[in-house]
Amino acid sequence: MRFVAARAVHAVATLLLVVTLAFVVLEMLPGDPAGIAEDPSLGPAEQARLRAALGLDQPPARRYATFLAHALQGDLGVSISRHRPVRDVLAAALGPTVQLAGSALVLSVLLGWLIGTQAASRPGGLAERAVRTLLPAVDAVPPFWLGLVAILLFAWRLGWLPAGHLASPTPPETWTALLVDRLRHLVLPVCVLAIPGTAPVARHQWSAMRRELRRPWVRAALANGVARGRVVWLRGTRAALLPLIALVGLGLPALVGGAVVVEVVFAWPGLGRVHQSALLARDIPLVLGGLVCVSGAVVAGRLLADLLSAWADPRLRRPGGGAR
Amino acid sequence: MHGDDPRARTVRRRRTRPGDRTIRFRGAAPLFVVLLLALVPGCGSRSGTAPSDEQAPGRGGTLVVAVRVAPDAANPYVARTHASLELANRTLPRLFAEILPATEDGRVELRPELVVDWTVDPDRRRVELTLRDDARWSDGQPVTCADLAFTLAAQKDPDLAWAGAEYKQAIESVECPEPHRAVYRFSRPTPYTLMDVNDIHVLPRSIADVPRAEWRRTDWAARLPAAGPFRIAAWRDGAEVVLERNDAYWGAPELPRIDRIVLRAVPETTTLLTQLLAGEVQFASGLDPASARRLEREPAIAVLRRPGWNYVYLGWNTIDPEAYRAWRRGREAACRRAGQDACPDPPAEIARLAREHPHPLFGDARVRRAITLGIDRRQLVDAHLLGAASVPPSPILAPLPEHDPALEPWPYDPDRARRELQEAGWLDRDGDGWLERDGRVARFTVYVHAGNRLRRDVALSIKRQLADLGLDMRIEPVESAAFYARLFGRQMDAWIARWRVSARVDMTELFGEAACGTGGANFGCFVDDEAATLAAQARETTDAERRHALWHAWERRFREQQPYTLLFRADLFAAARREVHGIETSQANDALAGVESWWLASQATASGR
Repeated sequence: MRFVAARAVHAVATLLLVVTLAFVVLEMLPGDPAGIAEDPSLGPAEQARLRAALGLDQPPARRYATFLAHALQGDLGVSISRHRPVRDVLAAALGPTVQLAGSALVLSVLLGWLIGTQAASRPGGLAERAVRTLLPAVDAVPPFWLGLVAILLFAWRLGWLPAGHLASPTPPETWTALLVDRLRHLVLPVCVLAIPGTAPVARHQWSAMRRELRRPWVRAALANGVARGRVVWLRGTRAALLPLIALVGLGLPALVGGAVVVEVVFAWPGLGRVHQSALLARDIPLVLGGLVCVSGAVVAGRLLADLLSAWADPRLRRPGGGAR
Repeated sequence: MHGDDPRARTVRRRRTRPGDRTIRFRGAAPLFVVLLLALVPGCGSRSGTAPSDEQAPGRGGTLVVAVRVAPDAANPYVARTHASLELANRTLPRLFAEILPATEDGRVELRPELVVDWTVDPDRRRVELTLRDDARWSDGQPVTCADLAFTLAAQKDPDLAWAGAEYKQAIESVECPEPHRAVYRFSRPTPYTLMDVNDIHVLPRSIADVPRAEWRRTDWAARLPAAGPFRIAAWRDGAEVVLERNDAYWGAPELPRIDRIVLRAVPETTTLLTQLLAGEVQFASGLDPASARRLEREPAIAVLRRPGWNYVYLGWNTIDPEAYRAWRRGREAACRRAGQDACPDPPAEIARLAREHPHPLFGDARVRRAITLGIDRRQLVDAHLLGAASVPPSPILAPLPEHDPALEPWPYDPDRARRELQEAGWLDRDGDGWLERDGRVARFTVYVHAGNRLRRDVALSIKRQLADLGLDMRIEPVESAAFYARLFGRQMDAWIARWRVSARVDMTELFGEAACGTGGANFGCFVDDEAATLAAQARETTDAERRHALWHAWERRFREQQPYTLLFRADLFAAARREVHGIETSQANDALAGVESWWLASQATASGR
């Protein structure tokens, strides 16, 4: 319980730090916080009225305090560029991002686990060659480039999959057709986001499994007649689970970062695109709200990874222990 | 790139044979070959057969339109994006549709929409309109003169701070002698009386219960009834807006012919082109020349080209930056002493600085003219815009009647440019290749938007050309907010930017002394008594012929003085799949203009593939 409380306090402090830093950086940027000054047709009096209407006439410290006080009550303010409550804008974008990033996370972990385990269990085989040579190259591919190639190949050239968006403009009439339509739209962005994430998972799983498979208990189990597949895929995997959990926790920020790029390429209406457009519009309430949302998800993911690690390895629950 | 190489066409045809579709993924090599082929433009497009233009207009279907930036608000008086204005053109009524000419001999047209009859009194102080009596809002209420009065009150309300409020200041009142008759009274005659009445959309008085100070925080998509051909059916923030035919529209049931329009935000160019080629999107505007040229080779795509109603220019700061900084320090100290939070630049003071402390380079018209003469703008257009632009001689664009068609842009003449620079005292005295005067090297920095690749590339070409004259031009790409902060803070020697042009000509907004201060658009504070007098007379002259003559004279002065070097007026491109008919009504300033009369040849295409 103490362990959980300590981790939770750490997570909240991280979140607060991120939001504070973001606010300070946004304030330091040159230009008008709401881009009002970018409209030269507005006179000084009109600009002043607009600033007052948007609450931008207050000093930054007061605006920050107000933002925090309201945020604690679940009110993230009103978006300057979208004229709607930030909460509503984020709520609409959260679902698509969770679909995209969540599916990509599951896919990359599953693929990485399969490839890594297979590579460790059959040294010199195709999977190990892939882990040693192909996957590092895949890891280095920028999601932006990969996305464009995927669109050109699978959407235009082959015509197998749609090039972007969440669903077709004309929704299918039956429930199953709707599901298929959603899945078809999900395939390309999820694969593009998942493929670079597969490489580190596979590498770590390969390394951890190689270590596990050299331990005496594996030889003992095999000598006692336990099937090799059972030893490798069940017992070995459980033993190699700890670094995998830590890796997934550490990889969450990269996944969210990659999602921003993938959302732009695939015109996916998620948090990444909201964030990008808010930054370009200098929409501070929306940028901060988005940051609270994204960093909250990342911090929660890390917290979950820490807790899972502690569950998998009781030694980490002792004082002085920490997730590796 | 294949270009027009006939061998390339052969390759293209061969690859589109059905048998060639089979790809075997045996090992990595074939995959990479496929990836490479997929990246080569022009190879194996999925083009279809264009339907015959002789088909009778069809009805129904969904038109999918790609936009770079999604509309940000359904209410055009609080919207910040052009997409929102185009959306409002479909959903809200206008008195007239303002049609900008698409050809050299065209003219601005105000096409009646809500208005059936109108009279403008000879003294231009009274305009009487008769409205259609069959126009209704989607909530069932009729569109009446009361809506016009409500709209004018909102437009002039300081709490709303609408950017176009200035054009309404001369309108004193709207009287409603009958529900469908409106009388506008002006406090003074203005040259563009009907345009002043017209701008922009009519709002329903049913939204009067929303305080105007709250308009920027209101979700209008769900609140605002429609009276245009379409109404908003779904608003997916930043991603998609779905419009459905408005049965309350006065043109119904004949118009609109299309049932639904889906506006989808596609920010990435490659994605947009692919969606257009694959049939997921059927219409897109705002295409760059390279994309348009690429699409012109596709039989399934029709490309529309229109002269743009905007121009890109190189602007000059005419005030010595050091003098301005010193003055500004003093001004801020005075504001602090007076306890004033806001400390704007008074226009008269800035104009005085421009006269008394001119910029070492750009305070001299000869230098500005020399730079215009030293830039081969036609070459810029050919190299960076593939020829799809013109070089305008004046910011009053052709074929507006205020523009003098006989006026020619300065030619590319580096010899004359050198002579002008010599006359201004700029000489290469130490033989290092750079001009000097009074111990100062002819060096300056041009600021460009970091995200605008075209302007960055153009700036690079200009840098090379000006280096031949001995001018050392530096380029500073900066992010948009920082760009404007520097521009308004007069911390720039020069900058590249763009203005969108309207049919209402008033150059005092850009080059008048009153626009030199904070909030004005005369960023470089160009002051010239002759040009100012001509512009002041022209903006107050209601006699069209005399007004045009005054603007022609102003243009000649502009040409001599060169407060801007006008770089180019880029053509605008839109593209549609061939199944979309009627797109000829599309306008440069409103790509979906006339969409209510468009129709789709095959409704099956609406769902994508």
